[in-house]
Amino acid sequence: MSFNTEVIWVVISFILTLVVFSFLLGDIPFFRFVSAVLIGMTAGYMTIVIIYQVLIARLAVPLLQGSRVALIPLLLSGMLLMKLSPRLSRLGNPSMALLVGVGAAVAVGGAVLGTLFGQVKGALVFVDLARAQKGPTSLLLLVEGIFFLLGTLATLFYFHFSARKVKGKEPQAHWSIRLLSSVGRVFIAITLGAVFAGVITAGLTALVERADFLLGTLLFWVR
Amino acid sequence: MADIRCLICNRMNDASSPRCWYCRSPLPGYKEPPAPDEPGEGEIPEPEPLAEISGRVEPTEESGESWEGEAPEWLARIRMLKEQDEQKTRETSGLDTEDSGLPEWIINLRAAEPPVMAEKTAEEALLEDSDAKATTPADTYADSRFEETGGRASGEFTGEPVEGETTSPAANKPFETAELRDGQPAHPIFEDDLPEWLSADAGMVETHSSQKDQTARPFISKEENKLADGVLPAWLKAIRPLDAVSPATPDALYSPGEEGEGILAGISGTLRSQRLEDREVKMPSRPHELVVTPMQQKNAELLYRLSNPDIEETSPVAITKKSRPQRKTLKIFAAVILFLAVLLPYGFRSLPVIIPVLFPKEVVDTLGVIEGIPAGKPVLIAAQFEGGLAGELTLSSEPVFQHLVSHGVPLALMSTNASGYAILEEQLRRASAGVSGYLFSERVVNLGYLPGGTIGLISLVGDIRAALPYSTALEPAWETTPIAGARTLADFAAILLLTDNPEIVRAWVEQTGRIEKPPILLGVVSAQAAPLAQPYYDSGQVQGLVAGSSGALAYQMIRQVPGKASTTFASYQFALFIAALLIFLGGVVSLVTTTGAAAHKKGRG
Repeated sequence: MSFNTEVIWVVISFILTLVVFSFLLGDIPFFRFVSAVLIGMTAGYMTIVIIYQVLIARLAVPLLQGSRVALIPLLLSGMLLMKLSPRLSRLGNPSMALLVGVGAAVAVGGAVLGTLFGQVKGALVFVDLARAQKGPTSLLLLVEGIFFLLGTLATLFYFHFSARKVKGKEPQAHWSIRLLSSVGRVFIAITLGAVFAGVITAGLTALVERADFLLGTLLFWVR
Repeated sequence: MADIRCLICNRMNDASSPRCWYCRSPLPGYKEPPAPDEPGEGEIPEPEPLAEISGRVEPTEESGESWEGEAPEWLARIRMLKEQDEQKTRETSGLDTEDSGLPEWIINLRAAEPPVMAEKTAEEALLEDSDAKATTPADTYADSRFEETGGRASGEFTGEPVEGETTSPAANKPFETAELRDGQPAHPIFEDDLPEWLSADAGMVETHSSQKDQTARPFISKEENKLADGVLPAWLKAIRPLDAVSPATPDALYSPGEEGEGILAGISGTLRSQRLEDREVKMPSRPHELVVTPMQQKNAELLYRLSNPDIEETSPVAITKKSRPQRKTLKIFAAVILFLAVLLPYGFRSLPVIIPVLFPKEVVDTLGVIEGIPAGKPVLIAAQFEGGLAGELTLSSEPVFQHLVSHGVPLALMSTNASGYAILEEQLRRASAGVSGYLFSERVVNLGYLPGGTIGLISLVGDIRAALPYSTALEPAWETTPIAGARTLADFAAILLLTDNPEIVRAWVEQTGRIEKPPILLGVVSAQAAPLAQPYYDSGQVQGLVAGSSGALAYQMIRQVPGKASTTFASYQFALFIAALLIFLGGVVSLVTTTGAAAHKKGRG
């Protein structure tokens, strides 16, 4: 039984994979069918997950167990549902305000403490002379650190848009800022190039994985 | 200043004018301004012809004789014939001339006029006026007659052509064409000096003065009195002051009866105030024009095309009709090439593959962390990725999962999105399938989906038991064997992130950094997230990183355990090489064609 189920799923996966590749021929009905299947299944699956993992596990069960704290999310959720009605939508504002406010506070706090301080500290590690003196390749590490520092500063200066007013001329930034900005531009270009390469690599890896699946399935059937 | 009505054309004229503005006839009651050396106004005798045509003064026999005596023979003959006609008309028509109060000759003129003409609307008269431009044919005719009679046009002028004179149909019309029929008082200054668009609203100003003439022209309806709306350009309509300020009709401005309420209650004929809610206020248009340089325009177009690859070309470099099939062919060609590049290494095992000999430090560190996990201490595997990249993440995570399973580490799974929750357990099951002695049900617990995104992470960091109380089987998760001893996040040996998005790495780094003793953070990320996740490893916030297929291969090579990454690496490398080659060749071809086209254009220019 288990074998049969697995075979059925393999066959379905095989066919659906081939149909997805039919997008090369354009937005044909087969591809649209697969897209519709994917969207429908995702929506259905999400609904099931939310019912079981959120509504039952985090709301219904605590309420049935007599938890009064669970009444707060129930109330806030009910108020948020009022947003569906134009007449009662104002009742949903407290829930929305809570969501936005907490979300913003969490994001800002995390960004300052986690990313900003963490990345500044990380940038300083490369120019840590004590660390560089320890190893045999101390000079190389120092050069690497200076290169990293230059890249960081130059990238930051690229986003410096202030300019000084000069009588009779167009406002222009100082030459040193312009120079650093140009260097920063190179670093940004390299970063974006790396991201682009990463996207292509990820896509190719997915293609290789699917091709491996198709070939394996075909070979299994042939044998 | 009082107006004087012309007896010939019945139009209103300024009292100071000696002659009618329209028909050049002498106006009755005109008094010449006193000359410095002449006696006063009252002492000036009225000129004889004017006195004769005046409605107030009956021409005396003497004056008529003296006038006739001065007239040339042909004019005398005409007058005689005219008198005969008048006599006949008087006898046949039998009109009651006593009630009208108008001179007899005017009544005769009206009687001689065809009835259809008398019923002509004011609109037609206006059209006739406009056809005749500034002066009507009747005016022209009157002018000519006036000149012919030596400037002595009299009240007996009938409009009949002189002998030998050809008359146009328009000229044959009686003089009371425009003004007598529409009955409007003449305001030559308003009508002639104002521009056409404003003259339509000048009626508002004239309404009050024209009201006193309403009784004199009962046969003109209000509808007929209306001027036809002109077709104005939009910009002119927008700036029309009268329209913009007061869209109400002039009549509507006046209150017909007494005011019923307010401070003006009981007062009639007041100006009606406009209700504010009815007022149509046109906001002044302030067009803003975005000024962009050609380079900015080009960049914007490029960006738009990148984000909308299926749109039709709109740039000047228009693609011909051939280009669409060509593009499709090129797309299919590139896809076939890539497919071949992927499949070829399966058939030809002898194809050269460059195996990395230097392993990335972040991969080595990941392996070291997993090796150093104390026995029995659980690891939390957190996933958030889209289904499209599940294939890549399956390849990348396989060696790490195998390592964890073979090491016998208890695992707790969780996901911050629904698809990750679905796929993660399946990936782990497949990875652990080849490892003997690892009881999945005893060593792995699935904590399911954590909703709320970053806020959910905060709750997880604060109280993991409250954030994820149940397993996917809806059993109390923290009573299960794998994580029975864990109370906080710090009780986990490590957190392994499985994601295709660097933002998820950032969020985890930020939120787990809040706790005093944060657990070790490891990452298995997609190749597309690797460049932006790398700084977190470099800064020490993430202790290990396995990125993409190459990272997985390095992991397997260090562990010397075969896996999918090593079997598919040849395909991956060959496909990557072909893709890079295609991009390079495409760039070269694009450069050559663009340069060639530019040179060709320059040569033409």
